[in-house]
Amino acid sequence: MKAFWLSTLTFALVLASCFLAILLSHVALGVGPVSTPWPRLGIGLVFFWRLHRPGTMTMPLVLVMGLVQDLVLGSIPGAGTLALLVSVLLLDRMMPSLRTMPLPWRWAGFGVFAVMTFALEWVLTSIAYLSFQPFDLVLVQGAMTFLCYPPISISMRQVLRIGRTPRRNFQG
Amino acid sequence: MAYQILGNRSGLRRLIVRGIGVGVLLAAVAIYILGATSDPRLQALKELTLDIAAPVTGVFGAPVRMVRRATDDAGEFLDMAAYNRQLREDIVGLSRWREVALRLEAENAQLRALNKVTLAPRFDYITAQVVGNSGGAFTQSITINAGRAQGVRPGTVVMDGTAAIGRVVALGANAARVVLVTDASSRIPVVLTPGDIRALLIGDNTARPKLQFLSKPGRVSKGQRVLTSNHGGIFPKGLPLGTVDALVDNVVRVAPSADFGRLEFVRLVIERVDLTIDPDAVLIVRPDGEVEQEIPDRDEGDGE
Repeated sequence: MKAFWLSTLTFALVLASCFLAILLSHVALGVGPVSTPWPRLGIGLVFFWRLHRPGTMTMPLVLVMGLVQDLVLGSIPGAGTLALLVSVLLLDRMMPSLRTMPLPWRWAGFGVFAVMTFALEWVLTSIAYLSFQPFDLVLVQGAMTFLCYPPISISMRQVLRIGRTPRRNFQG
Repeated sequence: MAYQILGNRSGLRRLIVRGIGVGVLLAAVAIYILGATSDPRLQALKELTLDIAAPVTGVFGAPVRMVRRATDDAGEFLDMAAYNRQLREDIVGLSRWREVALRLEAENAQLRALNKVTLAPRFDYITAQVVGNSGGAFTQSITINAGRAQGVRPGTVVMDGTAAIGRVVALGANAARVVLVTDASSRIPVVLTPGDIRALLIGDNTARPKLQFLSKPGRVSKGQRVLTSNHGGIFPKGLPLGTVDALVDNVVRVAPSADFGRLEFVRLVIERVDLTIDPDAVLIVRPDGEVEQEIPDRDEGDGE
């Protein structure tokens, strides 16, 4: 029974944090000109949960998150979703070894993930519009998203620690 | 072989996981194809997302707007002396234009009186608040807190007060998505003045959209005003969009008049549909589609 409640709670946490991140990316309003790209926090959250809770952030949930992100941000429905799914699939083998590594390595892993996601979305958007889209804006948005990962990772790991028994120092 | 796989529990599990993965990928490809072809079957999903996301974004955006206003106020306070100097110069220029406008208004009234023309206002305006933006490199759009309930329709033109900034592409009950003139999917028929040059203003996700299909390419010059031309019937005629900014690599770029950095409130231009007059002036049709009055056929009358 306890395991059921724990998994339900984890699922709710994953879902809520991803939705919140996507909506916060949409609120970017007012911080700068409308034409300035802003970080896609949803991508960071999907990577974080796929890394630390792969049993909760399953492929169908990645599909849902990608679609919600596309619809909320007004992108071509499916372009961001497909890019996110393909990146998750390609990097899935790398995830178990990354999980135990320190933050700089996980951050580098996220860098690869973000580059792949943005590059794929750029290709898919260019195909949909039948013209090459400006790549400089993609680079700016990709870099901003990359820089946002450490705060996401640190804060979410703190959230995951809630309720756990603190480690005791037996040396003293 | 199949027996071996199905007989092994971990093999079966792997097979199911792979099957789900392939299914999810195929679903994403199908959604992408529907999205890229602007299939109307996704419209309901877009409307639902707008109605759910817009109010939540509005609440989250409140502190951001508050901080922005505070920083703007502080910045303006520091620049007050420069603003005052600029305003004094503007007042001198505008006084001259006021005289010209008054003279033209009087002349216009005289000419209308001579022609016995009474023009009914064709447009209503409603104001909406910007609650979210795409914030993306792949799309340039904003979300506003006015929708079907406020009389907004798909294609409604949106202005920032002085210039057209885009049109409504997706509509919820109380929210709408506005695709900006800078978006890669935006195509607006325009006219350049002076010179009466017709062209198409095409967005490419950069801050300065480009002009294509110019009717007189040799006569384009920097500073010409770019106005909507009403070709295609979506944008009313004469709405300012911007000015010709530069010619780079044989591409004419336009600097939008709207200040996209300060989009907080926008004005929606709602066209009135009280009465539709048939182009051939044969029927007068009410909005519900019923014929109100039939004008007798001229040929019949002439024949008798």
